[in-house]
Amino acid sequence: MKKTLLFSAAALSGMTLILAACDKEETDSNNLPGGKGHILIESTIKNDDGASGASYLVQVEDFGKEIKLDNALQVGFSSTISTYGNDVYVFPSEMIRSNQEIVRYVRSEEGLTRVAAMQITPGSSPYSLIKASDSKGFIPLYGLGKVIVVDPMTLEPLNEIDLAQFAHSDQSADPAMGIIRDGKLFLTLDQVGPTWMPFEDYRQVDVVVIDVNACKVDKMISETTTGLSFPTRPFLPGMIFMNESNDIYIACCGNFGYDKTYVKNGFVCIPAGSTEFDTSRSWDLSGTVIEGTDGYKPASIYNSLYIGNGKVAAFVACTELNGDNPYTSHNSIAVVIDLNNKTVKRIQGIPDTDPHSGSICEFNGKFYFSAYGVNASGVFSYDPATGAVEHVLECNTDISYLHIF
Amino acid sequence: MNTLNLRRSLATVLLLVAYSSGTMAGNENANKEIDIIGTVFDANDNSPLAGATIYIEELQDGVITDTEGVFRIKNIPDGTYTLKAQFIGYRPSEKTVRTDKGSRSNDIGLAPEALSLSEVIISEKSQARLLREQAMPVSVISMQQLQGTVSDVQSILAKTVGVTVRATGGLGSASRLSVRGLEGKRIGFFIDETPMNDQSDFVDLNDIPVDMIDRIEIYKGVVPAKFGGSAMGGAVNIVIKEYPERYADVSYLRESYNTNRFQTVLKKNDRKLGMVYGIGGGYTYAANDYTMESPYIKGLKIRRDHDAYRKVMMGGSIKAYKWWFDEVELEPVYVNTFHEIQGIETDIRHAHSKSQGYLLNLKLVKDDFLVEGLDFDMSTALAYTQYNMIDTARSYYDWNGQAHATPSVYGGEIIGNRYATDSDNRKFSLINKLYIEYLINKRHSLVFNSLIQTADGRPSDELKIKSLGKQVDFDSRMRSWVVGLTYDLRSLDQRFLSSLTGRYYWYGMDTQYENLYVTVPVEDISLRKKSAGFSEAMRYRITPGLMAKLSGGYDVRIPAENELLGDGSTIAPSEQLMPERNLSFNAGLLYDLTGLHPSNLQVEVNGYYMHVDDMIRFVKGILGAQYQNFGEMRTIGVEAEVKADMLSWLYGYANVTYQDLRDTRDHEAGKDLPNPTKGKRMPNIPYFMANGGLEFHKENLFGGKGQNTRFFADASFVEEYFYDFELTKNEKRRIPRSFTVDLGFEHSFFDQRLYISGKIKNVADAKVISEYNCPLPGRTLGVKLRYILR
Repeated sequence: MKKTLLFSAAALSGMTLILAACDKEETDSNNLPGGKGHILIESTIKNDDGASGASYLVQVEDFGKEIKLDNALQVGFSSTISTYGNDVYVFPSEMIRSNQEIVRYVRSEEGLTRVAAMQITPGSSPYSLIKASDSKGFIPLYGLGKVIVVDPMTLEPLNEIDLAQFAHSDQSADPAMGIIRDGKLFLTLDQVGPTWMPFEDYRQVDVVVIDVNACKVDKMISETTTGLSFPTRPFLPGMIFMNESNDIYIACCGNFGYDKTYVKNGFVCIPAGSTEFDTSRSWDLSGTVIEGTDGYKPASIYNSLYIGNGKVAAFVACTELNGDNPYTSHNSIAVVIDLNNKTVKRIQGIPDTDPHSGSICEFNGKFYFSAYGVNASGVFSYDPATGAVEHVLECNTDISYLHIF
Repeated sequence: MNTLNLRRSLATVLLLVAYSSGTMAGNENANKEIDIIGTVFDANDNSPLAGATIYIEELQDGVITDTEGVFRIKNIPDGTYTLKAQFIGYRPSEKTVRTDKGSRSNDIGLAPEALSLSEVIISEKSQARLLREQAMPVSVISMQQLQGTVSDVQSILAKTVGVTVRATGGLGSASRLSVRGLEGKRIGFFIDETPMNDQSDFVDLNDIPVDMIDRIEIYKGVVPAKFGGSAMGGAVNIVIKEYPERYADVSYLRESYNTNRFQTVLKKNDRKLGMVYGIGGGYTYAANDYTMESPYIKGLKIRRDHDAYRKVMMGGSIKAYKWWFDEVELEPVYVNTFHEIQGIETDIRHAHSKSQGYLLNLKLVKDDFLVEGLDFDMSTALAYTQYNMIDTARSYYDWNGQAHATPSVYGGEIIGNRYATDSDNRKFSLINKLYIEYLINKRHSLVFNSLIQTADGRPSDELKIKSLGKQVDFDSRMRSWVVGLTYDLRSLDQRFLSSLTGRYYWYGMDTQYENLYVTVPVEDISLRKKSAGFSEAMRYRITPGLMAKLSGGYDVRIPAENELLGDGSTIAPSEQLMPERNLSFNAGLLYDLTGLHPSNLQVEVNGYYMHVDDMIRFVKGILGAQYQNFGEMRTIGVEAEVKADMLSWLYGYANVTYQDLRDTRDHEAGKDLPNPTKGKRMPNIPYFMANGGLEFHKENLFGGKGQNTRFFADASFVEEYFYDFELTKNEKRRIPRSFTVDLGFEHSFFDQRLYISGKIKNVADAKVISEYNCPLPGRTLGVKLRYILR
């Protein structure tokens, strides 16, 4: 087996290991890039088109403190981030050419230390790492329709899973985000066309079930009854989650709210112990009025995070708020979705945001939303117990990623 | 008396009649201003000398002779003047003229001589000096600086103060000219004052054979009205040579990376019919197969093997100068280009582009049009262009040689595109430029200026439609009109010049738009926009050698057709694009001893301020590139240049530019939040540059006669700058500092009939990048052979 793995690693297409070479400058513990703090943010300054700009990874000492970018670490524009413990994985930008490498940093209160990197195939579009153990992680390659299996510590490639057979109409099934349950990786397939939107003739939810140990695909399952599509954005782990009963829920984006003739969005479910969808638990949100709004209904889910008791914190898009440019429209509002009671309720006090913000994380029982509004932006805390909202961190840029250690 | 001599004499007689009439009228009114008219000719064979300089010392004013060697200095007060005649390759000559002696001939014969470079510099004062003495800030690169060089136009421009060239690769690659930090289409590109910006996909600066160029004028800040108002912040006008009666020029250049350039120009002046016939053409091929270091994979060296460039240009010219118009010129041009697309992130093996362009230009010029003192100059250009982008490969390759399926089943190996393309985009455009100047008297004149442009685009790409599942490129129609009125004021002693211009801008566009993300009914777009601007430029001569200039303006530039509509392939439409506006001021001092002192010392210092609103910037995003308005920014800059004949055999120059461009937006577009980059240096624009050089020149250095030798060394420095706003000391995306040195030589035989020249660019093989992640060639060698028959 070991030999097989080694052989597979050698045969991996174009993946080159870059050993953990660290510059002297970057190992100076007194001056680590990213700066001091326990709140990690990715600050994004976009050009007016919204599709280009620059992003910076920086730590903030605490809420209420000023965000100082002078020691920030520049990453690709709107680079996606995966975090496990103190490991921070930074992926190359899709939106603007950047270095074609995945980098693992180890963060401390003093900053970020680069410890490993892996060269990737240009155009392969890796967005996240799904960690199975300290020795195994999965990186879906959205552009190539493959999954590479890596050592998450060294980023050494170990294996490769080809999903080409599951692609619809083009060469890639667009593997997106996954969750591991009972030794199986449930990996969503976005099945997008050339405009990054779901195919009009293929509005369904596909998930491949992969055996984590064998790194083999068991099967693909599909939810075709509700017409939901685009299961999970490929860099947001909170869009596929398990509830207290180990039921897997998958948030589906549909057409991002930009096609008024197709606004289906919502959740599909793979119940605990099953590897099939339970279509009776699928829920299309597009018919549900958002409480606290002027009758708006969700046209897409942009991000979500399970907060317990059947409730999900989320950003949803509303067609009424759409502008001309999907990268700059403030069409996304913060809500709490109740999966059990089938309600969607606006969280008052969090501004409508453009899509470069919209990160959600949990810390000490509170939930934190990043939002970039017309006249307020930064991080807003939400206490699910009281419903209280507080603007805890002011920032004049988008916050594309937020994590509190 | 040979035919030529007779011709000259007849012309002189006719001119004298005109002159006498003026004189007689002058006798009736002693204060009336009159014209001095005459010819400049070769004293050996009596052939007229076109392009010779006539300079009146007392007035510090001058003119250039036309194709018949005739000059006319208008509206000068009665008096006694010293006419100085100069022409390259001839000994300068002087003649004293009394305007009350109407019967005297003002013809001046010049004796040929073996060329002396120091004297060339004196005679080169000619147009260069006259242009420098305009009220506008302008740099002039004269023929002397161009002659025999193996450099291309871009390389020459790059050494000019305040100018940078932003290239992405080898010969034929996309490049942008930047003047005082403003770049792209706002910097006007003209050939003989005909705007070429909208044809820049077909004709670029480097297509113009250096040997055909008389001079290059680089205007900064305020652009003179004669250029029609399509430029903002700067303009480059390439003035093509006027040729003698018979002229043939053939050259061949061989450079590194299998670069070959063959060019020829043939001209014939039929003086009997008053016709000049010309034909010329060029063939360029470059493999551009230099080795670059991958900006994406550390340590990976890549030999560029898919960057071949081929261009064929042919042009003709028929000019009549004896018809009712002083000049009627018809010029057809054909351009054919093929260019492979070099991959940097991936190994592109098939994608390429092709283009063809047919241009026809008609120029009509007449002084004293209908009424005396009304000068008419109109040019009308028609262009039909066809552009093909072909990207149909079904797989793409990484630099390990591994093939990967393209995202679309229809193909498309260019990274970032998720579709295949096989486009056939056709465009028909018309440019009409009208310039009418009315000389009220010696002190006052009015100029009416009009520039009408139309463009009708017909994109077609069935494969792209199949790939995307929808059509996103549509037929388009654009119309624009810029009209201006200029009032010029001159003091009688010519110490003071003022030029005040007002302009009105209008444009309209009709096309359709389909959202890329959403399948909704196609939207009709119909835009009509207008704006107004003005400028004022003043010049005051403090002493014969010292001059002060002050100019300012509020200029508008309407978006170019392909900024609004995209290119039908990689650049997306941007129909909401607003015109950009520039409020600018320039103050400068010029100390110029050219012709006044053997050193020919020139020292020029300029300071300037610009505030640009709705600046149009090229940005690249996830689904292709687009032009966008960028709020506002301001520039404060200073530039200085010194050049002199340090010794009789040694010429030197140095210049330095500091331009501080800053974001001045208070808020991001549509937001109340403070702008996080306010006050930051504008990204991706160099801010500190310097150039310097030495030239050794000597006649008959190696013995013999009729020979001349030049050796030159040029150095260029650009300080590091950032691709993004500078927000962190860990800024990664940088365009590194560059310092390059070029060395060259030129040797001419047979009184400048045969040239051999060579050049080593970037002697130290320094790593040079002027666009982010686009490595440029290192050291290159070039040799050129040129023969002139005249």
